[in-house]
Amino acid sequence: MASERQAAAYEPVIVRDAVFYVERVLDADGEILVRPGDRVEPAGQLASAMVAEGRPLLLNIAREFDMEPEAVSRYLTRPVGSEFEEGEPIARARRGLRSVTCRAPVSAPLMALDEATGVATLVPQSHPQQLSAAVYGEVESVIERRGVSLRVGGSRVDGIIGLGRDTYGPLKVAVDRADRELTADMVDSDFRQSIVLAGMTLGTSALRKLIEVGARGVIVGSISDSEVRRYLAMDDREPSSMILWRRMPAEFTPQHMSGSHGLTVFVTEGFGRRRMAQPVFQFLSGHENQIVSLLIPRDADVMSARPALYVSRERPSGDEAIQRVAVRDGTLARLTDPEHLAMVVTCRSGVTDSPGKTGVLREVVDVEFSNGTRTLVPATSLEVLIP
Amino acid sequence: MIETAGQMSTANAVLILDIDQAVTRAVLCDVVEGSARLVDVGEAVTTAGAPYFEMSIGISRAMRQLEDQSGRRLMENELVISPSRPDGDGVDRVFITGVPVEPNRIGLLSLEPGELTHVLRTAVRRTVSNLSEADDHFRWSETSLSPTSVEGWLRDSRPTTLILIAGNGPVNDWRAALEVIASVAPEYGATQGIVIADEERQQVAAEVLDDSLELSGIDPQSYHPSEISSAVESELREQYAGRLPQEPSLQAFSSGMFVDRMQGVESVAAFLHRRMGRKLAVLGTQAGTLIEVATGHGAVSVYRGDIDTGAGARSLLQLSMPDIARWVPSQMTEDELRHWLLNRSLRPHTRVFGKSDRAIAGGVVREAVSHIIRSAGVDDMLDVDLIILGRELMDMTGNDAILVTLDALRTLPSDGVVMLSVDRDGIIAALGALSAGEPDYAREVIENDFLSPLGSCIVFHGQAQHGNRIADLEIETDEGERRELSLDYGEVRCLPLPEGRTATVTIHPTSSISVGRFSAGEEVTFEGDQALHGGEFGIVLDGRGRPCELPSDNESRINTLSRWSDAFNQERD
Repeated sequence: MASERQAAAYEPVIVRDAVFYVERVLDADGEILVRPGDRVEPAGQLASAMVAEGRPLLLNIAREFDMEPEAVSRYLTRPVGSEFEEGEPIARARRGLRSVTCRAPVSAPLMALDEATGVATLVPQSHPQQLSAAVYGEVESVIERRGVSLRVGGSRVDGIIGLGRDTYGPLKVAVDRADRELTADMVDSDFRQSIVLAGMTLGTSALRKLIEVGARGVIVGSISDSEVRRYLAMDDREPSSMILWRRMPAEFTPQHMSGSHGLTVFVTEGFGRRRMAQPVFQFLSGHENQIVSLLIPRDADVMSARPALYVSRERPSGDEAIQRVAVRDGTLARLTDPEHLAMVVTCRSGVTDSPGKTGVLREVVDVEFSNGTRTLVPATSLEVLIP
Repeated sequence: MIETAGQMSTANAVLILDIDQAVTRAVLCDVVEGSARLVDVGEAVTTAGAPYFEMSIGISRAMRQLEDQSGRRLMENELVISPSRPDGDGVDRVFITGVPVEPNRIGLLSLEPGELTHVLRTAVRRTVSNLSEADDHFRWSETSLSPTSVEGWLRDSRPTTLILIAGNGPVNDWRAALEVIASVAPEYGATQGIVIADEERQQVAAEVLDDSLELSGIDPQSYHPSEISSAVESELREQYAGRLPQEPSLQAFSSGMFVDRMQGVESVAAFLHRRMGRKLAVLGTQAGTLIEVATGHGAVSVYRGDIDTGAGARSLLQLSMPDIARWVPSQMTEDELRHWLLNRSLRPHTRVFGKSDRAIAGGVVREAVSHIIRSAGVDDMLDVDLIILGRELMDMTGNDAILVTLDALRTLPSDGVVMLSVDRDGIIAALGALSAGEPDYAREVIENDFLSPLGSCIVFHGQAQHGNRIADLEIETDEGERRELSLDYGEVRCLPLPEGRTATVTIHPTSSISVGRFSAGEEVTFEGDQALHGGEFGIVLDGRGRPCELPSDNESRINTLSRWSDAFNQERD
């Protein structure tokens, strides 16, 4: 028998009409262009810096290809002085029946090839970084030489996976239902410079079409591992799931995913073909044509960093900080175990203790499914959507 | 100051904190009527990760729960009350165990894979460390040893300590590999290098790496591999323990003695092996996978912090998806399975509760544990007579946990019977930590309150046609109930026998079938001291043969798995 206990608190997935503190930070020390109290808009520049990509890299191509050093120059794909994108082949040769390739580990020009050793030198260049606000807000404080903290009024939706760069744009609703897939034929030039609400999921062809029309971002309920790998394939070579999603996917950092593609993918539920939770879809649909911002944590593991979507107001008002809420009768939530992922339920109790299979007390919540059936689910297996 | 060793005095009330990246437990033991007993366990989700990034919240919750349940006050002004007071509040000793801070990140690059590499890999995996081997990275990314691939490996794994094994290959190759490491390793967070090389190659390492890493070196020509592995193991254990005092959330428990989870579990397993003469295996799958085997032929200890059904599920993408899917009693595509693993990694604290999730988890655990055991160099089926399951395994896979464990550990007991017990309170590491400072006290708690029996499983070995009778059995309980029954090949049955009861069992196997490692067709009787003990699932008859084969056609496979599962989920025979 479950017994009522002090309720655990959840931070809702959708937070409406609140004040948020958003940190915007440079990749390196730089110049801060705003002051506390300044009002900013998404395109407004907050700071700038010169960011070094890294130290010169030496690639021993002769050793990689197992050939004489003086022969290496014949196998370069482009001459010394050329710019190479990360992952692009610098040299290619044949070894027996197999073709072997030496790829650029970072984007950089090939500065030299030493014919005596067969060693190529790549020197990553510094590049300017302009840090934009990406949201409407007011500068709350300055982080010396690195960035600012913005006070932002409006609403926020938490995502679960973010691929790409921070971006913003008017929201375009591309599908009429949360369980609809966005296909390439539904993508048109109206989506240029927009953030597209795409429902359940989308495939590689739709992703490529969005890039082609110049969309800035896309919001989906779920994505497929194989579609992402196909999307990221270079020279028809797909990254393996293991390399892509394990720890920090170094070769496929968000910057790479965005890079030349320039599209940010914001996922609300997880992997697979899962509909977007209806309240999330409904909330977002209600903001069609408004500016929304997709903020993707940087320098973090794609699998553990949580992206956030803001619908920010031009003038932050009020002082309503985000509140963690207790589950109670009527609270709308979604389940997060793989079997029921993204299923929306209505809570019919607070968090209670119930003896589990092994006799140890477990925190559970009584929930009602849309078909009226009720069950106890572990408190750790749900997320509150709206308080 | 957190102790890592020392001479201890006898205590009454003892608090043990067991913290990992998933669960925080506060375990309270005390002397009750002259005997050391487990009093209560408080438990909370660990809050070291998102969205809290503050371990102390989880610790406070676990401590509060423990105080509520035990009716004792243990904390005052954010410090542990110590020593205990006459009214029962407070404790006399504090221990800390588990994996409270992230495991060490170790990178292993060997230019000459062989025995020494294997021994060192095994040594690292006996410590609380996540090991990333360059060879694995090259295999996953379909590259071979080259400056680019070494750079990619370091970027991906970001080890803080590098173990570099030179081998006897060309010195220039060694130098070239070290030059790449010198140019990028510090950028990716490496600070320490352990060089296993002869004098000449150590000299090269010193020239190339001295400015980049803090180096130590061992010459494999002067030391036996076991000495080298022992030195590396000690170094890594110290390295891990040395990071604890920097964790602010543990300041309130700074008088505590720390024993890492591996050491804790090893102590309990060694105790059960020595004192009770058991050949045993321990399987824990919470925040990493821990396997401890103690038999007459030696011990195997493996900790894989990067592999579990939570945050570590994505590491299992390296396994064959069809191998996992074959254990799931439904049709499941490779994509679906990958998505399941990735969704588990995204929300590792989510508790599964649906039938389908539990079945998938069963398949995942079977293959993950088999993979870990094979990687540890154990190819034979395990000859153990006691298996201790972590509680989380039952949470994750439900009543299928027994079969999941038997399959995962590839168990074939020589005596034909393996007893399965669950660590219901999740206290094995806590008891191990306790035994490091209070061995007699720990022994009493282990004997009084540790294990809950699930049942005794009789394992049949050999080949037969599915559905053919493979044995006749006569069973008589200690209360005089008698029954006779037969078992078919491929069948699993549970015969009720409650905890605390025993039964005499006589088995007449057919000519091609053996009971455990007895001869084929040999009659076996378990009686007297050998009588079988009961538990939650009573006596389990496992007629699936070894190795356990699944039918190749899909429908039969699904039916077979469902039947096996039903044996544990329906009314007992």
